[in-house]
Amino acid sequence: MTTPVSIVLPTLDEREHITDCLDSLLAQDYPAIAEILVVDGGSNDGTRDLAARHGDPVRVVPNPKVTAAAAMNVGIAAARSDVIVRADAHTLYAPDFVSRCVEVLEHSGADVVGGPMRPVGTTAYGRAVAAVTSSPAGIGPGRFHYADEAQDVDTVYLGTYRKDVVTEVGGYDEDTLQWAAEDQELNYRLRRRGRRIRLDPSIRSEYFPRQTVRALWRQYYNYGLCKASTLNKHRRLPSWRPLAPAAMVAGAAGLGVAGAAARRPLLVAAPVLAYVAGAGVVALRLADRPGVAPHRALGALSVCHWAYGLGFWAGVGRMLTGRPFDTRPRKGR
Amino acid sequence: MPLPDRGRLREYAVKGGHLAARQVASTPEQRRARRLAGEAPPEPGDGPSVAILTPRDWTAHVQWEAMIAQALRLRGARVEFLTCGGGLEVCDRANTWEGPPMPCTSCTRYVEDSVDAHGFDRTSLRDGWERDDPGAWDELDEVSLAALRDVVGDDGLPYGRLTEIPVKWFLMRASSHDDPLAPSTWRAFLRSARRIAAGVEAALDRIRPDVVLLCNGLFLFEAVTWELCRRRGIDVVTYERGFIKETLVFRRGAPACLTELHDLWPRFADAALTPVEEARLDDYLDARRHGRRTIDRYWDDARFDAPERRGSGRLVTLFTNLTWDSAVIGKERAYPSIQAWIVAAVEAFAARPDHELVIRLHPAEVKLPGKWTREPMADVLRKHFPTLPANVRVVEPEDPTSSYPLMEASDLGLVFTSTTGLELALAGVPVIVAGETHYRGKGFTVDVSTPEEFVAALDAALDDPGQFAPDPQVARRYANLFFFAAPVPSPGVEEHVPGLARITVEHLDELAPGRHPGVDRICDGILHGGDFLAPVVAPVVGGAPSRSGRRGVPVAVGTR
Repeated sequence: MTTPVSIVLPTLDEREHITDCLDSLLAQDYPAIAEILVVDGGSNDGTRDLAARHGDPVRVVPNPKVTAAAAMNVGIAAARSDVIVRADAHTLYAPDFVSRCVEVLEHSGADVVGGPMRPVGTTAYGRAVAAVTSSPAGIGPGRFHYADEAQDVDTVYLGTYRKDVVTEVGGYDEDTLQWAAEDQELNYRLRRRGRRIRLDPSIRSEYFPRQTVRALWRQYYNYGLCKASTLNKHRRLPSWRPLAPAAMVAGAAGLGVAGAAARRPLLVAAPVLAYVAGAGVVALRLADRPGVAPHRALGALSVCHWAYGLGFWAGVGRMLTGRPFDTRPRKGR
Repeated sequence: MPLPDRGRLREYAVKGGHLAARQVASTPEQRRARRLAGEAPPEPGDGPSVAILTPRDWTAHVQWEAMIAQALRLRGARVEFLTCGGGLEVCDRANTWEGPPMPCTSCTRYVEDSVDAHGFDRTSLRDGWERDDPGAWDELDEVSLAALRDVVGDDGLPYGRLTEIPVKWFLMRASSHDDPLAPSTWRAFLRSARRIAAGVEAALDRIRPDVVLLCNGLFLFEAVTWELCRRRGIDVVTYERGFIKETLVFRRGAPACLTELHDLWPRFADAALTPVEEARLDDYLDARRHGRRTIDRYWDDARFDAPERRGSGRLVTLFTNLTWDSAVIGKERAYPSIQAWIVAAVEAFAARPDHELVIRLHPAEVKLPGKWTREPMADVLRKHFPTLPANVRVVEPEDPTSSYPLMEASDLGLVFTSTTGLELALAGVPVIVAGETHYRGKGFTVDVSTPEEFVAALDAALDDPGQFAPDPQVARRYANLFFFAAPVPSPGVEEHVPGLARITVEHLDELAPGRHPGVDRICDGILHGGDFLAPVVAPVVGGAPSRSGRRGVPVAVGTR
């Protein structure tokens, strides 16, 4: 018998994406999708109406707490099926996405399964962002960004799991984390409980990354805050490698201050020049991909690294001063 | 990342110089245009009103259109240009490897500066749509990808259908259902198309042209403009590059890009070529074989290796097209898509292991800089045949092996709409045509309309290819019409560097009536409904008289 699944899709002002996202979910070849729960955090752009217009099996559920973490908990509680497929509105799904998720979940022995995050840029800058965020040099250790072989990992993009696996660790953290940290932090708790997380490249979806410098900066600055909020909660990090950008920012700042104090301009400029040289080499390699200009790749790479590093230190500042993290976005995503 | 070769670096340097000169409206062709404009008649004529749609900074097209405008003005026509003005969310000035954002600033500057340099009035479509902006069209967010083709505006224009080919061209792929870029791109094109329509409506209201000249006919600005002209009963002439460099093909009321010559062919089918025409065709086919005098040159180092025959069966070659080429979209006949046809061909050979199929993937998939296909045929083959049958092999698009020895060694050719079908026939090789190509039904190909017909023709041809051997004389007559008689030498402009244009006319009177047969043909066609064919000329010295008496030798551009 085919295992029924519930798809949980958190939304907040996703008018531009919701129709295509739901179309791809409704085109799944999996025969036992019990429901697609669009858990909406109070959209003002008509997202709910557009979603509701699709009719059965799409069901719109309100999410008074707005955030994706709360949406997932609301969705899991409302779901009629035991197996939950987490979805994202900025993503289009291959027709066999759900069937591959269920297949891997049932046969790999893993507790959470997911596929790689395959970014697709829709603008010239978006293509550079996609290249950077699917490269180990751009993104650090998250193998779900670039792995092409099935393997056990720290965390996956989205994720499919049995409901009780998540509820037994208390579900998604809605209360203490910086918003958008919920997936990685949940997977961290699950791994500490001995649960296995499996990445399988045959689970295919395509994600639309940020398309502007400003949006990318805000996203990666927030990711830095997310990492600090996870550190704040657990007093340790799932992995130390993401701290590389933070170390880079600290090093550059330290040398800058030292250089300024010693009136040695070269010392101030050295870290920036070294960074540009190193990142420039990476950007040239990324520009081998069609439609990716090296200068845009360098720009996107720099935004990812510096925004993340600064965001992390801002988060450390909040830890030290006791200022709470933002559990919901102040203004959009 | 390897450095470009010396020739390419030189090209980049020249283009860099032009780019700088564009900023101050002083490219060589703009300077020459200003000088020519000074020789133009001081008063506007009282002849027909001609609007020329010039929305993009495709340099050669801008200058071709401007020189045609100069010639029309010399014949008394009132000419005005419709330019874009910039500001659209997306258009087909670039493709998905390059935009969005679109290069509106540089594009608009070049077009407007060039039209000004030639001394013509222009109307910006942007002025029209900004005055009466149709808005963001939020309702499109509710429309699924599958329904976007059917979108019709409040004004009744079938925007979905009009944007289908531009979207595919922009995305460099034909299938949209599995393309993550397709939904948002198509909606953006629809919004742009509605704004263009508002701009064109305003311009047509004001200019009230008798005839509109536009490029190609199927691109974004052109498709919308043509549709609006059709509604108003305005005559439309389209043009596109010919297959021979520095030639243009014109059509009235039909897209020139499809090079359909059905109406002209009966006048040429029975007329034997003169020795001069024979020699001209042989010269050109030889040049083409070596990649010269063609608009797209793929190889500097083509290898002319004869294909290896494996076994004693027939050697059959299949030539593909780009899936998103306008020569393919809407030209499906025996199969619903070119992909389905290729799959059917491989399956047919899997069931006929004694014979060998060689699939030549189109070099344009990878060899045109900035226009790499997003729908490689190799992916189609891999998806359907993880392992190809042993008797099927593929020549990859990047393989510099020339297709010509392969054609000549073949017992049979298979094409969808590729012009290689014509070349196979010219080489005496039987050809089975599965698509609605321009040379279909001309008497030298085996044209099939259903999958059953395809398989039956394939079996018959494998059994005895000789029964389908084309009549090379008929094929050569068609080739003469296609390559020489129908195209017109470009009016005083040459593309000396890909993407740049040089005006070859020294003085405007070189374009005056009777001075340049090519220009006369173009202007006669636009202003007086002529058929754009070569004028009647006396038989060429040393050649047999032409039975039809319609054809002449081509005249070099710019000669007196």
